[in-house]
Amino acid sequence: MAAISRTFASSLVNRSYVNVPASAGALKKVFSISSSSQDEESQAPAAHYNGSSKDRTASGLLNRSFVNVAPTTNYQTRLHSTTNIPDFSKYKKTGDYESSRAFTYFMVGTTGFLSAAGAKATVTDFLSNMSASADVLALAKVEVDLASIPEGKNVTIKWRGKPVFIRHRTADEISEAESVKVTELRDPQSDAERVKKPEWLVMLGVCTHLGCVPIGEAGDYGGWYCPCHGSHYDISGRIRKGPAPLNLEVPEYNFAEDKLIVG
Amino acid sequence: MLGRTFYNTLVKKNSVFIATIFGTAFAFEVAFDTTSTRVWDNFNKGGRLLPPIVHYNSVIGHKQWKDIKDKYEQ
Repeated sequence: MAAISRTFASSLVNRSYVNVPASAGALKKVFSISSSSQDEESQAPAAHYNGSSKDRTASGLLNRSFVNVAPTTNYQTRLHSTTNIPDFSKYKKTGDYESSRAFTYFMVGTTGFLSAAGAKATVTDFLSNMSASADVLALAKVEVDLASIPEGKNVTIKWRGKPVFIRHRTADEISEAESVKVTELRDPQSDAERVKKPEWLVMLGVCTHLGCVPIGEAGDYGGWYCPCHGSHYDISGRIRKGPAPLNLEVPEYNFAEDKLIVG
Repeated sequence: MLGRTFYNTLVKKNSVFIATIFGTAFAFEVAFDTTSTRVWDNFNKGGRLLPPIVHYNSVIGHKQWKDIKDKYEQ
């Protein structure tokens, strides 16, 4: 056992002895290469900053570490020896500081107002593109000559594809519409809420139940009657009997002289 | 001198600078619109005109309605 271990130890020692001359040779080789590569660096130093793979030689890893060290020293010597600070004097401003500052802010301001005007124009273009054009707006309104509608008569006009009822109410009908107790209604609305002028009742002729067109001057309450499912509306267009849940809708309208403008 | 006056009155206070920029933008827009409309109207002035240039399906160089309106409206 002892003999075996001694042989092993001696072999280790021998191995290290064998290795020493080899590594000494390698070191020699490394020194010769690195010194020669320093000569090369002075001619083409960039190759050593690029990367290490090309610098690898047959002498292996040791060589690589030496090659990597070399540019650092080389770089520092170059920095101290060859760097010249360029002459910037011809780029420096020679004129008045204040006028140059004013010019700078003037250019900043000019850029600012030009881009503000451009941004505003862009936004305006997009918004006006999305809004309704003049022909659409003209079709969206309907004018009715009120003088042609006698008292106690109904007129039905078409507005945005829907019928609009206009009734010139008599004094009796107005007082009848106003005398109704609002609290007893299914959709409580006083007559004053539904008309702008009491003698003119304007509303959409679409039954609030399922969208039929009610018949005028009919029904139990002297107003409108929907034949589809039997809804009765009074002389103010309010639902009084039948399945409809709401009063007849009142559109946006205005009076201009003796004309009515719906829309 | 001019530069210092400009800086001290308009730039020194940022709110004044911003307000000046927006005010100038408004004035610039009005001036630009007026000028470009005038140039366009002048180019397409009523009366005798160049023959209309047909460019694909649009006609360039027709009279404008506002130049010939008085002939057709009472």
